Amino acid sequence: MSAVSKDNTIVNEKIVENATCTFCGCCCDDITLTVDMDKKVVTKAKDACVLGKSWFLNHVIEDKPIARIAGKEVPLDDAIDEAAKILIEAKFPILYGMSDTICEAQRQCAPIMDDCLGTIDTTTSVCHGPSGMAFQGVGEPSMTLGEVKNRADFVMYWGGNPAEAHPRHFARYAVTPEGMFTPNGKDDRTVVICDVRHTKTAGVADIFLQVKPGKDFELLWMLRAACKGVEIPDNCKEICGIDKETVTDLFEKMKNCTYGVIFFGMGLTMSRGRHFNSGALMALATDLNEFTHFVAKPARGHGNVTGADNVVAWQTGYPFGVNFSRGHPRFNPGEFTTVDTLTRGEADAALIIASDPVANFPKPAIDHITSEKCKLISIDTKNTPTSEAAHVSIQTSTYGINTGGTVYRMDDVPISLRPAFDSPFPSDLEVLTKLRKKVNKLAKKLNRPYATKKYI
Amino acid sequence: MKLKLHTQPDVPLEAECITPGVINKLKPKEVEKLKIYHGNRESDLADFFKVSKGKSDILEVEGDMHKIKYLGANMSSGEMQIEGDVGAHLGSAISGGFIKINGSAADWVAPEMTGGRIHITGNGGHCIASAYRGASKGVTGGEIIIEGNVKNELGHAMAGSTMVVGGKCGDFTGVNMISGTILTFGEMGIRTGAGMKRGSIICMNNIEVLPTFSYDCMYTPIYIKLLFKYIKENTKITIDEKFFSGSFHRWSGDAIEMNRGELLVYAA
Repeated sequence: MSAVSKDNTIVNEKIVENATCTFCGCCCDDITLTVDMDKKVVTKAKDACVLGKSWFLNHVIEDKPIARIAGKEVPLDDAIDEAAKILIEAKFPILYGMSDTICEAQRQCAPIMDDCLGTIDTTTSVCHGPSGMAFQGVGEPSMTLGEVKNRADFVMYWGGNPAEAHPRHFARYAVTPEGMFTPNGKDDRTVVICDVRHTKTAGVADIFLQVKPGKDFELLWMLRAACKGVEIPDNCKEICGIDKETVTDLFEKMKNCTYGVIFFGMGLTMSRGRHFNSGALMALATDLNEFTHFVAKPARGHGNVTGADNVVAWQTGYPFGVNFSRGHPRFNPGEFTTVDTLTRGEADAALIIASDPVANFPKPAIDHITSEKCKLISIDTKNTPTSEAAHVSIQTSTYGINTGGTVYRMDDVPISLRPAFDSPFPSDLEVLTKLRKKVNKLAKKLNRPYATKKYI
Repeated sequence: MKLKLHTQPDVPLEAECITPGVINKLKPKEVEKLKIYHGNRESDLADFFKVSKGKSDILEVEGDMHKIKYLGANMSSGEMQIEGDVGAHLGSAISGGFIKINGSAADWVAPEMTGGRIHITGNGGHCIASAYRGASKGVTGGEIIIEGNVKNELGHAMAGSTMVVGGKCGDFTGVNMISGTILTFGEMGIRTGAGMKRGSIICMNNIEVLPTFSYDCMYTPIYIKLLFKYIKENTKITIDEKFFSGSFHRWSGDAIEMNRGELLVYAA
């Protein structure tokens, strides 16, 4: 479609209706994109939030080589051959990342590590990993965001700041939308925010609870005890920073709502206590089902991190931190999660997909991954400290803008992508499919135990 | 038999065959051919250990083995003496026998233990005698003595074992405990005994008790004196004479579970 721009020049313009933003876990699929097909840029992103606009409008096709080995440009197939050779020769290879790519590409990863007898880990291990462990320990009282929109009259956010991390979460799903049984939007809902500090999110709260730092577990534990008929103790304020009356009132509101939901963030999962904090919250939601319908859900971050966990769990039985060294999947966070493995200096090869550990891991882990002892392979859409430090670096196209596929929203609902324009770079799916084939061929030569196993 | 580490592995080494039940039946030449796993590669034991005939039936293992996992796994009888630090999963699923470590151990000591004894003179890591992820029940028997410090989740969901820690403990000691006894001498982390059903946690230092525990009384349980006597005779943990005649504050918990667990905190 052609359009006339402000300076009266003809612009080759394309409108993409219902495009999906893959910046955060909300995966809003109602964005209207206006694309300048000549310059290959998105010029408008209607209905996108500030983060979504930044994601779409700042995306440009960079002038960079597709594949590099030791900093030198090489054909893609050579880079894939080199990557496959490194991985198959490694004694303890690790694959990490996958949160910013499509499920179809993630699907290629477990077979690659199965053939290489290595470890597969997603970025979950550094964000909601403790929640993943808590699901296994206490179960997940789950729901979809559609249910929340239509039914929830008690909405709580614990240890998260969606106003800045998931800006459309309030308007699209949980606070202001008018649902089937919540026709008056926010007026029909009680919104509670529990956090250690007054964030932007606290502005929408009917009740704001400022819990003492590191005392979330104690508050959750008191609420759980209240479900069993134990009175909230008189020294409640001393324990968690919130007085007895407020906590008792909160418990009454939780008990007497029709449909309650708690969204929780990394303020809970990554503070002292970790998986026990997430577990306590989910156990509280489960306990409250004695009185009413109550659910809990982690407010996940990156676009498709939920998909990464789902795909790895579907293929191996476990969501992250899965090791294949002995030919069968073994799950043990702490032993097989990337930060721990690298900090102890164990991995001798690392395949990093759509992630940047060199920029954000602890120093001992960065020192190991960038050292001679660990051969680093990076597959990413942009230049990052990881791709710069990598021995083999492959640049791919961006999911959601250049390539289509499936992503999972934070409530485990799959959503299709509508790409805006093509990219000269190959997709993650194309690169990983080629790598999988190459690795499989080499594994068969070595008579690896599961090299002939058929993955769906 | 005596095994001495001569080559440090570059990546984690899994050596569940290093246990008296397997090695004592074999000749040194056969022991050298035992399979161990260096990362994802199968190797011979001789690639990393020098094997020699020992003076007794005790299996002696020597060297810095912090990267070697599963030592003494599935052990059911015999004795194993380790000089040096060891890696994760020491004594995994042990059901009998005795392992003595003159050094420190990493995480996951004796998961799925049903019997036997483990004595560590140094420190321990996280999740000692803890239930594996997803398991509702952890160790069901045996005895573990650690003279040094341990980290988080000691005895997670343990159901009938005895554990003694001479030094500091991390957070969530005895979390979700079903039964058994934990005795600690050093400083405690937070949330001790969270979600415990039954069992006893005895702390010789003051602790922060969770709000879901209720105070019962102050008393002097007799069995603790016997436990102290046993520790004094068998370990290097220093026990103050006043502990033998001291009283304990007793707390019941956890109220979110059955409220039948006891938390004993040394009073004076």
